[in-house]
Amino acid sequence: MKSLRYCILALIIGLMGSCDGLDTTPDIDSKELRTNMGEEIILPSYKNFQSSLTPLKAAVDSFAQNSDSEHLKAVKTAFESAYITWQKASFYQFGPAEDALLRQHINNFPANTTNIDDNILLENVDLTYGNYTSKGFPALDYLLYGVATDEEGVLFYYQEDAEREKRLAYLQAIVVDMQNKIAGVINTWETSYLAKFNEASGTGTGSAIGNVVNAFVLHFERHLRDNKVGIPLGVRSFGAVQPDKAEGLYSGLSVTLASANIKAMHDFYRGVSTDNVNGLGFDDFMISLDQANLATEIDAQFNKTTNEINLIPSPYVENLEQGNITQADLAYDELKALLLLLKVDMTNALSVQITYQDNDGD
Amino acid sequence: MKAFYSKLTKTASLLLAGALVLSSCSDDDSNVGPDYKVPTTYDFSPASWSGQTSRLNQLEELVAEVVKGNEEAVNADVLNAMFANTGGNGGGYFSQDYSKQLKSKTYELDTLEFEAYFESVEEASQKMDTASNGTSGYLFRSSGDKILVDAKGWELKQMIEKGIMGSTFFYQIAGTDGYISNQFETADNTEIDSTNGTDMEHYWDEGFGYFGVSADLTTTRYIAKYAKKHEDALGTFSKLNEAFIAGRAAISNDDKDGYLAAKGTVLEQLELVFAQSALGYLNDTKADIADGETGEACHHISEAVAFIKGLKFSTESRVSASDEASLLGHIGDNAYEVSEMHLNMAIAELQSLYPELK
Repeated sequence: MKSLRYCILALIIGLMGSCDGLDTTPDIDSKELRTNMGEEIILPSYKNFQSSLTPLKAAVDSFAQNSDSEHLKAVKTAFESAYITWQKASFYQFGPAEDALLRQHINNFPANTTNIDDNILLENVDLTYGNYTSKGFPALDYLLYGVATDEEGVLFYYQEDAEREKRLAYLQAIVVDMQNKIAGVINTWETSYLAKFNEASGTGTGSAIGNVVNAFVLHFERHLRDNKVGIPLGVRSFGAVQPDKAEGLYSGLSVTLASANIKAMHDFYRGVSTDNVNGLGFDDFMISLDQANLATEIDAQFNKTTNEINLIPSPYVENLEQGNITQADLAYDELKALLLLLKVDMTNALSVQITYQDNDGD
Repeated sequence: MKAFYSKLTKTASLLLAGALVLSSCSDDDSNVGPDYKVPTTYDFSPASWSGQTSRLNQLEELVAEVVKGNEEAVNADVLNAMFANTGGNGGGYFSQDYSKQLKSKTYELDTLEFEAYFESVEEASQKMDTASNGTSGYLFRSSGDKILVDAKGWELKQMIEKGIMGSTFFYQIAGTDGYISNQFETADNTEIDSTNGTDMEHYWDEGFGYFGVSADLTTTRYIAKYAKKHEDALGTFSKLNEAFIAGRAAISNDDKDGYLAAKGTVLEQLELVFAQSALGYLNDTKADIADGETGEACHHISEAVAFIKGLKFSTESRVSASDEASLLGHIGDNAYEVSEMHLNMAIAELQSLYPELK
């Protein structure tokens, strides 16, 4: 029934197209929706992330001058704040971010600590290409929290003479690379991509909505559901927990980051801007297509899932190690349920095809 | 939530009302097309392209044999016999008799390359072991499926299947002696054979047969499958279908301007299908490498290379020999050693050759 309605509308639109003069383009996907997504949410989220790196850079530079407890704390504070801000910018991996492999350069966890140690000793500070497991937040997480069992040990790591300068230089190199990567993506958005995004109408492959939905659902499935929650919980290892695969492995930030991520995804779904204005989102789009019930159902499932994630005992890693998995299991079940709604029902309602899975048998 | 719903519904109802009015005006501008009937599917008679269908079928059988190499040893002699259709039944390995063959229609300089891949299939499949840089064998895709690769990580199925799509099918449509690029234009268009129509019609049909869409346009394989894949991005599938149909109708009606225009569209759009496929797979490879997915990376870069090699087979190709060498040079000769930086260079070069790619 709903596809029939859609067909009739499409047919009418088709008829219109053949006649000159009366070319009021039907507003099926609304430029307003794209504008809200691009100009009010995605680009500002990137800029917020970029801004969050400024204090981090300053703190790391100061710490390089004064490697004491107070300055280490300042670095950690800026790191946590930037890591949380990233959660609001991480799920737009299409267009410029996809071309630049933004996620892989910024937050590809778990880190390869052996490779990081090697890079430091060999003074490999050009992180422009490759090194995906030895840079970004996961590497900082290791270098700020994981190089020793306690904070005293971490301080010693940077105060000890022999390698301290190499270590500090590597910390700085990581942050500079993150700044370069996000600056490149923002630049492409501003100079060319935003205009294209605003014009890429429809919901087909390559349309703005098609790209956004694919990136959104892919992130939800692989990065939020699997990498942040499911894989450490053991869903890929026959129930054997894999705490060392968790995000924020050393800082203990796993749950905080997952919570921030699902909240940001929920906000994006509802079209809430970075200034907290509720504009056009997927929900409004579905309502316009006579799918108000589905929009409400997904909204409710977002709330339910967020609650369960927020209740996972922190730090996630220690709790997993102790076999305390009940709450994470509940959260994972809700994530699965929400994925179905997003990947099947929402994409059907919006007539978006999921293209990130190779479904052509080759 | 904003008042998005009401606005849209209003637009829709306005449209509905408008459509009724508009149906009357559609007569005024419908006379832009030709003054003869152009069907909506490839519905012509007499018309025949059974030789092309036969070769497409043979490639399916050949590739099915290559894929067996994931699980058991495959003999290169079998693949050679199928490629050359020895004895009219692929040396006894085809499921049926065929009167045509792939090898004789393949760009001659590439036949040795395909035969070398057949040897690699034999070599890699005999070992039944995992591959690594320097050692042939199988890798796993993220789905868990196996792929057979040579010692440099090139996936043999892709190099063979996508390679023949270019070196045989595309070459036969669009190459120096291709049906659409060359042969049909100078053929007789007066004497009608009861099975094939005129020679000119028949050559056009043979070109269409290599494209890989059914006459009713509903099922696709090989080039047509990729044209369909890129329909949303570039409109390649509808443009090609329309051009193949328009060209054939123009020939039957001696409309030279019509069939020359259709020829131009066919050659241009087929090349875009190859270019867009190459670009997509280059981008996929970048992400695979960053994600540490070696099997996926080898799979995707093999597809990309096969499609890049296909670009040159049109007489109208925008890719010169030095462009091809440069594109492939960035990628290098070892699938395991492809880097993000080099992929970026190949992507930028491809995009400058084909600015319309998405």
